Amino acid sequence: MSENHTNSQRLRATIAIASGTLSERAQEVWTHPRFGELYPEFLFAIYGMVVSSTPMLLQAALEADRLAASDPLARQLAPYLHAHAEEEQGHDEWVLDDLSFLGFDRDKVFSRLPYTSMSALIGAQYYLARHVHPVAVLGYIAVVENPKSPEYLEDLAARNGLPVESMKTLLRHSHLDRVHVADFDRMLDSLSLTLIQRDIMTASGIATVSYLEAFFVDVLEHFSRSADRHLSARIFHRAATPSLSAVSEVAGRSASG
Amino acid sequence: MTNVEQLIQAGVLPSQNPLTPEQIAALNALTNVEIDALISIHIKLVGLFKPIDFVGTCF
Repeated sequence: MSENHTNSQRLRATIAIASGTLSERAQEVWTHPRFGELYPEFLFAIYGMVVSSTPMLLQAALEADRLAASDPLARQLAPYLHAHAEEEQGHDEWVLDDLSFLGFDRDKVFSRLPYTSMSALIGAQYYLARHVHPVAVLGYIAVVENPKSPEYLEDLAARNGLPVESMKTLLRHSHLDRVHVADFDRMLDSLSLTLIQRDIMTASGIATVSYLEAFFVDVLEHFSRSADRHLSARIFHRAATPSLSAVSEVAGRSASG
Repeated sequence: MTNVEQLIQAGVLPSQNPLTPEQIAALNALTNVEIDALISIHIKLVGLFKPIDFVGTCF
């Protein structure tokens, strides 16, 4: 990695050094032999991330505003963070709609605590933005905003018997996040970062990789307990919800007529 | 001590590794803060220098 790399190239290359095991854990989820049954757990898990995106970004934006008078980087960051916080508004409803389509009541989602790995993932960004520098949030964004093609997702749904209507969150993000990634790289490459500012951003990205890996381990762990009424989270007590095959049948009937 | 030696000593990089000279140079170009961050997350560095795969998280 030479100093001739742009900010975004260098950040992504450094994150790549750390992300091997994260990619492996994520693949365990996405290629899980029972992905169709695991998918609601994944949706619950990312609800904790999506619902906190706007508030966390807003916190970072307000911190950038507070520093702006004496900090040129904060002054440059604030408009991007405010705009991005607004763009993410309401996406939590998409996750709830997806879960609702699969027969999971939103009140049950609200009543379940997020994973501790999720609290750590998002909580670290609140801390870094407030107590270190809001530039840290850019390291987080570079890791989590990572779209896959709509074709991949549609194929994933078909292979696992999932109604495509239950993938609204992922499908919409597969379009939106491509634009977001391009905007992000353009904005990041326009910044003049000092060495310490760059370090804060990269260290935040590396920490995000670690928390996100723990998040995927949690998804797999919770799913492995989902068949046991006593050990599973309440959202997965199937007796109160239609089976996935029943949902697929309903979706198939509504699509055909 | 170079960054690569430090990563090996910390147990996050195997001493027998298939790193190319370019990859070794890239690791040695990381700052102390970045090396500390890599060491402190307690993961094994595998599949180094592969762009991050799809993680499916939404933001």
